[in-house]
Amino acid sequence: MIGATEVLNTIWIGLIYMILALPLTLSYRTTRILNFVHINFITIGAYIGAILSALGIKNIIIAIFLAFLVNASIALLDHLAVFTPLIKKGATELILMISSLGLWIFYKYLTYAVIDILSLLTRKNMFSLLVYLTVLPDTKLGNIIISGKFLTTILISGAIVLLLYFFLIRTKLGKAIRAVADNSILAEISGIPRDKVMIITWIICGGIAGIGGLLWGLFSIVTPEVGDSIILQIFAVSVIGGLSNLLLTALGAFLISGAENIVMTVLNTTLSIPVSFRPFIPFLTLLIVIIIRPPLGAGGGLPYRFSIIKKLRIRR
Amino acid sequence: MVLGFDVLGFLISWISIFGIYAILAISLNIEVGYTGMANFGKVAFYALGAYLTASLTIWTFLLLHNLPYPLYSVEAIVALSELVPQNPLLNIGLFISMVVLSFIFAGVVGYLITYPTLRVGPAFLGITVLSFGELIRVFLRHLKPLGATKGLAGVPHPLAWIKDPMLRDGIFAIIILIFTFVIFLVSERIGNSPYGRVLRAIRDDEIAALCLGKHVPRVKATMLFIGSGFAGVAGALWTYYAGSVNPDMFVPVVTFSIWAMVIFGGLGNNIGALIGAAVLTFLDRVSFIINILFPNLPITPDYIRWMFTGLLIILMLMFRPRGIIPEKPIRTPIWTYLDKEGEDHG
Amino acid sequence: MGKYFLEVIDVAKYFGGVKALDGVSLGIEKGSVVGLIGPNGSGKTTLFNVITGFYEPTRGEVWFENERIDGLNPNEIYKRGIVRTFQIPRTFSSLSVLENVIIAFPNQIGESIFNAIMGPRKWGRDEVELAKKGLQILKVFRIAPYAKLKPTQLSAAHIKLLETARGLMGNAKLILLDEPAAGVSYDVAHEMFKFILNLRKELGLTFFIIEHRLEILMEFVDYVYVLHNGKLLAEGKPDEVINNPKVIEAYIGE
Repeated sequence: MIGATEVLNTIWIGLIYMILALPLTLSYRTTRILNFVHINFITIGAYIGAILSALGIKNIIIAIFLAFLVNASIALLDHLAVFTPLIKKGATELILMISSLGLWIFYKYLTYAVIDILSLLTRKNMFSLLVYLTVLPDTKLGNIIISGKFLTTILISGAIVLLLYFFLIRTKLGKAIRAVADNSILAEISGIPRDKVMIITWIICGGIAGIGGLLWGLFSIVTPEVGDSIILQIFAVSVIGGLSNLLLTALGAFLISGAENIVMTVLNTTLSIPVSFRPFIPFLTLLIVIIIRPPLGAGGGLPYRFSIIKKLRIRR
Repeated sequence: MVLGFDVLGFLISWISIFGIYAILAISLNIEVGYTGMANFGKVAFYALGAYLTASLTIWTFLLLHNLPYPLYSVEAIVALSELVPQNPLLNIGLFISMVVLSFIFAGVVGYLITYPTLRVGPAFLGITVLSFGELIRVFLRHLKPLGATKGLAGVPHPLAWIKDPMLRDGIFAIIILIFTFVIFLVSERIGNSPYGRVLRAIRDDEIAALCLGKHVPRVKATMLFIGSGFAGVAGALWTYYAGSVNPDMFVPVVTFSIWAMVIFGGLGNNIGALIGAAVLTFLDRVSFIINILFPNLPITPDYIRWMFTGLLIILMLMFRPRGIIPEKPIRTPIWTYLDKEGEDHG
Repeated sequence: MGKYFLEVIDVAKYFGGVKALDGVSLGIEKGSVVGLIGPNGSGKTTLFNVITGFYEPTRGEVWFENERIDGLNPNEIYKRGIVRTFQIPRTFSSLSVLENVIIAFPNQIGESIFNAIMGPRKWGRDEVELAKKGLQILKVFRIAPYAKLKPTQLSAAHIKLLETARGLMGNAKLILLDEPAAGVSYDVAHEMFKFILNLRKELGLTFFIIEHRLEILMEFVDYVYVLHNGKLLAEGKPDEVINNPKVIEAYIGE
């Protein structure tokens, strides 16, 4: 029933979910902006891999570098051109979120338009591409063949997590970012340059998300909807981490991935629940987490308690 | 015919789509403009109404004529095209029931979705409702009985018994406008009443409203019921207008086009929503025409239109957040009373 | 039958490890003016929050008019006649001053969605009655000239009066004032207190007031409770309490 395939899938999918959710959590925690352009970072990262392959450039290092650079630039541009002016005008968290939704839609169809033009120029259908970057070779472990893509994913995501950890815990800038995330007013008073922190945060988060998208593109067909197709899962993972706790986010990535792969297989084989129900798993997880443990940023919640048991209205 | 295309046909299609999107824009306005609830999943309720209508209408027809074809099959479409124009009463009866059912179905789902999100901040409400919308779409893409990615086609038109297509579409456009008008009226009444006062209070400070005795969760859930219900009605009308449904009609950009309409027109006023709907649906029709006239453009016009939609949201928020028409005070008799008092006492 | 109008019995409120309230018991008689004082962080606002339904107490009971009210939601508490003002006033910025007062009136016909949709014919007459009453109350508080303005256009003192005016519109029996004199000058605060407490006599209201500025408070209250570290430190008539060495120590320590 549950075999090596499901386990392996859980691992590589979990790793990529983790690489994609960590920057989302980190950026929200630091900037209090839920940036939906994150979806575009994934798509663009995947497309960079796809386009490089199509051009015959198979070096994955170049791909990683470009994926980081392009998406970090977009994140920075949004910060400077949209978020900062809005914040100066006193925009609320909600308004910033709506503006990021507008940006998402804009970039999404910009991507479509660019792909349209590229398709015309190359006379190929660029809307659905496969990625052929060189990865580590397939290795045999006992009876199982572990694909090179899988090993490469482990390597790259492992490296990113380690670098991120080292950066946030050990370096001065990283500590500054954590300080701003925890209490931005206090951080400001302590002399931490808030602007610089924001800029670095967006660069890192955009860049890593792009690399995550690139990795995802290795395994699936790249279309302009790539980011949208997995963002539900990424949200679920980030919500498990309460949009604040990086460790929980990382664990949540494997939880969701496991639920999707293992639980779905079980439900399919035992209860004949069709695979089309798969997206319900992250969504229901999202709902359940929100109901049971309203996470950080739930602030502004209503002091209203729904009680099913009516208290005895005692009179004396 | 002017310049090689059909002006009347253009107008009828624009009016029809305007009517439908005006309903959607108003339904969003009462949620976010009046009550401050940011709904990023409007398209989900639109889809629920549309799919319910499509599937039940086709199913009823097939059932009544004892045809065991699957809803999405070619046989069904062929059979229906013969049978559909035969019984006007059936068509109209179905139409009315579908609209009502869509309202209730979409409304109930909207009501249920509110409860988990009532106590969390805007970020989580946003994620949840948006995710719900995507969930519905992905689910429908894989749902074989309802056509999966191809969807359902050949939906029996309520006025199929009218032979002249221009007349049929024209009358249906008017029917759509009637719905738009009624929904506009109801929404204006909701907004300009003591209830509307409670809504604004919740928008400004829901905790204070709660402390002044207002049952905030119930009011919010009610507004989401009505707003989602209206969106369901719009979905039903759309299905009959378009004659078919498929999951790719219900993508997030639809939700955000509606947001663009409301932000452009001005949060909190329904006339603004109408104007926003008029402008954006006009652009929709223009790009449709361009697509027909110039089929080989390097970029599909729709992409440009949707880029513009996203840009409109950003630019309005940055430069004119109140919209082109600012919000007006609530119209109740207290103002006339105040003016009278002012006169009496000088 | 308990003798107290409002009675708090051994109420505790813990937030994780923090004991904001740790077993407080007090009673308020009908028609009295009672003060609640204590250094910062002693739990005064938390106690108000428990009484008004913001929080469910971790332990203990709250009784009002011989009915148990702890754990009820804030809107249900309001309906029973307990109104509360906030330290930083919470007014509705998109409504006019008059509407801010009118909205406090409970059980308005027009506040049901069905009646709203039916239109002004259904609730129009009531609206005029509400406007009348609201304007009257505004006149009592001397802020009637501002009826059409938005609360943001009012001075701090007037906003405070508006908050209290709302309480009257809501047919309050017990009014909890959270630092009503904060942010206003001594003279204005003095006037405000005199004025509000005159109403007590006319309308038979009961007041429970948190106030940091003891000089003002002590002049007007019948009885005082002192909180410190979530517990009741002392109680009694104003002059007794103010000369209580434990109280003085607590305040100096802050």
